[in-house]
Amino acid sequence: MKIKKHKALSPSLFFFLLLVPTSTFSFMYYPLTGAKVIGSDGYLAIPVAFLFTIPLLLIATYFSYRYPGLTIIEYTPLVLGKFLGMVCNLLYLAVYFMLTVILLRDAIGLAYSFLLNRTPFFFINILMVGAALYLSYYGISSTARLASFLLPAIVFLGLMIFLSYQNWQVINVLPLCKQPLYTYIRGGALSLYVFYPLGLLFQAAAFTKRRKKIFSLSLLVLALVSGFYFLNFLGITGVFTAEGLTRYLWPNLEFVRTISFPFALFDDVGLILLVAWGVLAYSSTTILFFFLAHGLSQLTLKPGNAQSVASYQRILVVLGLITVATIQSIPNLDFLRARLNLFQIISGLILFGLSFLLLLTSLTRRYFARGKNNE
Amino acid sequence: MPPHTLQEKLSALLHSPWDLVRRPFTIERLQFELIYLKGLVKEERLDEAIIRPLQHFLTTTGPDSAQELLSIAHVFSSAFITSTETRTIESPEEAANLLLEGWALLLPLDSQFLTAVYLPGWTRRKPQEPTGEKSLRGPREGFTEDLLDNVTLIRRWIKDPNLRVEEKTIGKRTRTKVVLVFLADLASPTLVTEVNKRLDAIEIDAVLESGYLEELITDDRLTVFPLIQATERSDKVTAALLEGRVAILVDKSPSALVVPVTINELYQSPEDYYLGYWLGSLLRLIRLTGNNLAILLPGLYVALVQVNPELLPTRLMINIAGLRANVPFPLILEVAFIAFALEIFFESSIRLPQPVASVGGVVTGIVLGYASLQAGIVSSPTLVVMIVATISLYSGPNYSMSIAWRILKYFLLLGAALFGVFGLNLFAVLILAHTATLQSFGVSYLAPWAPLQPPALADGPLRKPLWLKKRRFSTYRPLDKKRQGNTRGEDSPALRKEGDEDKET
Repeated sequence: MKIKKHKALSPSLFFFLLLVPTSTFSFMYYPLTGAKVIGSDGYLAIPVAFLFTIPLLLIATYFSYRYPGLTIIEYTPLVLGKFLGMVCNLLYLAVYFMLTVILLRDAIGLAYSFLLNRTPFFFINILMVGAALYLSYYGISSTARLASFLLPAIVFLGLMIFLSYQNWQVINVLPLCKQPLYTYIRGGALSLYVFYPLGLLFQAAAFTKRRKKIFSLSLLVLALVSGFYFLNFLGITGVFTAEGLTRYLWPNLEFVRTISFPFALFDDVGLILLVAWGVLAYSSTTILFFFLAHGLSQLTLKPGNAQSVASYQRILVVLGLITVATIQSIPNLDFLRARLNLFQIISGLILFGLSFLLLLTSLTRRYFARGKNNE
Repeated sequence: MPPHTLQEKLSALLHSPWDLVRRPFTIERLQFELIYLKGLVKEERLDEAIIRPLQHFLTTTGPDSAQELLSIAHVFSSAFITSTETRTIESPEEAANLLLEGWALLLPLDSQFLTAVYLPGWTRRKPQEPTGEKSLRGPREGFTEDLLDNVTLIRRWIKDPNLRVEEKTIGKRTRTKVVLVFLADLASPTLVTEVNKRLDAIEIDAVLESGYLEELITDDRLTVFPLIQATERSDKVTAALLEGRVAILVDKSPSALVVPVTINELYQSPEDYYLGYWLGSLLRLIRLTGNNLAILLPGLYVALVQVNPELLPTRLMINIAGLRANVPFPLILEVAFIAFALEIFFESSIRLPQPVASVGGVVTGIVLGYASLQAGIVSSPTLVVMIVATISLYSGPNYSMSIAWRILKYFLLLGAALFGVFGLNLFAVLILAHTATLQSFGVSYLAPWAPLQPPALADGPLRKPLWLKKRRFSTYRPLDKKRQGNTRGEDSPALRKEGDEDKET
């Protein structure tokens, strides 16, 4: 029973493979968008985004049935043709590369600001990326296993959020539904980036043992994360008010810092959140790195080439170097936050545009193929 | 001149070692030679097991010459029915091998065959409680150095014809007997095949202990974590067999190997199931807490006091700083000094005679600790942290696991000293990431956490009540999952009804 690099994932591993990056990616700052666009009802952006994300899951599930065992990188050229397929795949991978960079930049930024402000930023950058590459190198099973093992960390995050309700005031979330409907839709659409890691389903579906569970499991992930974020957003707004929370770079960290523990060992309770989120961010990075490298390896090699399975490990090294350089090129987090909206819109267009394009083309081609057969 | 007869060939092979006994004798005009190695054979049984049955056989069958005896060779070995095992052998090489394993050879002179009788006579240790795996409740029977005794210990637990004991010989020179023990209707055939395959692939001159095999058949030879469970407790091995796992017993080794194993398994003790589920759960939680304290406490202390003091409450920080004011070394050196000193004490106490060790422990612990505090070499908070961490390290029931954490503790200390809380966190996650890459005979090392198996997880940090363990956990992929039927407890509705009826009458 030698370890196979890419053996099929059990439903539980598949579930955690999606849950951990989705619940971690924008956890630290996601309330900023909703609060800025909608105001005190910002938390309603989450259920709207939840509804908007469901078609993405449906499309990914459809393709997992249409092309069983193939990832988006493999079936896009089959649906859209070689050239357009290659362009779309590159754009898809670019979205996830940026997601990785943003997640890592936040994690490194937090470590640098709160714990290691005398250590060179570059050094922390290399440490984090190197550590993530180590696990990604061992393949999808190992990364998924770590994600599954981190269930207590997710539960812990939930507990921290629950405890942060200590200073919650209902007045801060009132009045309810004062904005026009359009504002909620816009807020929801702009908050869609919270669930972008779920787009990994287009790749991850190829690794599952049970295709029948793909949709239910991904929907469960979406529902759990939505519920968690909804309660979290409601809590932050109740403690800081919508205007108040937009003043912070990491609203959730400040939210947790409002907890007062008697006889706590640490002066700053936020540290505990940093540790729990940091571990989850690490696990999410390993997953993102794996899918990026695997996608790139499939992109560079001919379909069906047996070598493509192993060659992702070489690509990982190059990917690591590019990631370090990209993170290094971001001057500060304000710079990133200022461009967050732009990233959200462009990547949303790519991700959702690509999935709808794939679906429409596939359905059209099937329709015409059926017509030809009838003739 | 090359040797012709079996006797000559055997003499040429053996080269007359010092402990070889050759006893020629004559019965009924026929000449025989009894050959054995002194010490390996039970000499006081030779007469009863070989000589007397031989006399009786020759008197009743009456062969006059070696040629006649050869004609009835096929029934000759049946004469020694009082012995545990007999074999008729024609090859001198095979005869020499058996001789080295404790068989006595009965050689009719000028014949081409001999009879080997198994009469093991070496000193055997009685089963005792293993010193490294003591428990307050439960059997005190640990494995010994005798393979047969160890198999017997298991057989006394499991009286099931499906219990398979398969023998192998490994080691070119030591020809060590190794047996695979498993329940044929429980253990996954893939697992049994894989264990066989790995054992068969071993080419080595000597196997002196089961540790040799452990190192050779493990899934990852570079990891510090034990991927095979080594235990001296027969009840532990029995429990493992009943879960569908495979045990490997090695002659001359009191440690049995059990595969596959998960990290969760290594924190469990058979005692958890003997003491009831409340106490069992408490013990498991204490073990886990102890383990986490042992690994993280020194690193966390260094990270918080040396690198990130701003994270500690101000009063606590001032207290620690005040107590450390007279220590002339950086904290990491102070911690390293105490850690190394404790390592040396522990290692020495294993070799020291028992009475000296206990007195020495008290003397070094109290006198040396007090003296180093007075001398300002170490501070009292550091000493407290290090002693708590070191003692906690051995709260787990598995020594190999404790050793692994003992090594990794320094890795975490390094991370904490270099990068504070961030480093401690990162290095701890790296260890976790490493464990996520590990497998033991096809089973994830992190199971039942990863992949998540809720029924098995219920018997993880807490002990699941026996009456709820109706099915075997899928972790080890057992063939038969059913463990028990509807065991009725006193609170079962049927019995309650009966009880109520009794009260009424």
